Amino acid sequence: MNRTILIVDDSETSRMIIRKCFSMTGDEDSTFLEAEDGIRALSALADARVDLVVTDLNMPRMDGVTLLRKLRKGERTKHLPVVVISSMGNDHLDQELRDLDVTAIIRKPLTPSKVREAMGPADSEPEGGF
Amino acid sequence: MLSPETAEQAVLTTFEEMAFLDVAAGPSGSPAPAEEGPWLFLSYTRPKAGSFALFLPKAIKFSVAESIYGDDWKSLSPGQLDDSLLELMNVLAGRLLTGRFGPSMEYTMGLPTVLYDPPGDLEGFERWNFPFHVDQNEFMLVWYEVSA
Repeated sequence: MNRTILIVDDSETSRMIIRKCFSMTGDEDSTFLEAEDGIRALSALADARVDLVVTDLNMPRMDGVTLLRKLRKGERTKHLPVVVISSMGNDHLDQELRDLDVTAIIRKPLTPSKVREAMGPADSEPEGGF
Repeated sequence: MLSPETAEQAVLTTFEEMAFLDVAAGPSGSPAPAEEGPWLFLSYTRPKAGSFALFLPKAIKFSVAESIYGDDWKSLSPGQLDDSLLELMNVLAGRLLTGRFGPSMEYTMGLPTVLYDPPGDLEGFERWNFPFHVDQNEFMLVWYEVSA
């Protein structure tokens, strides 16, 4: 695949793991952008065409849920595919994320097999990004 | 309180999956070396207030960082070494809190930090220690929960 993926996570280690896992599961030719929190992610989205956002939840300044809510309110980002990768997880949170139309929820620690399983056949070539 | 079984399952699974380390519960049985190491610390505020800390001797710290980055620890920056531990702590936090309060309970946790001094006792909180070891290297999970 050749697309642009925005990784949003305050941990440099986690961003590296996400980049590696997606590169190993079909995104070896994709371009990866990185942001440390939701505010920087919104800034990156204003500057670049992005096909997929992969975000953590627990981040300083602006967390992942707040970022998602802002994306869904934006005319240009309301349909942007978003994958949530987080160590946090409970039934209420998962339902809130589904209500925000996330493409997938993946629990940390991330592995290539988890990415493959979560993205599955729905992870096809982008029809057109942001 | 956090049950020993929940602590053991969360710690063993996290270290195995993230660092490929074969951890066993309890002390190693050998004299513990007087070694300094970082303490990782994280607080949670819902459904109860509390914190937990993880002491890692340097040998385990380097093993974790090398496994995660797939590189010799000497080639990693101090920031990368600490960050790899914080990521491990983050994953462990999710497992411990889900195990402690159940998958239906909402919880709120803070961001993990590195401390270079033991956190000690926290006023108003009960404390439980859970020792673990990898070979002869001991480490410790300390769980704090607001007193009833």
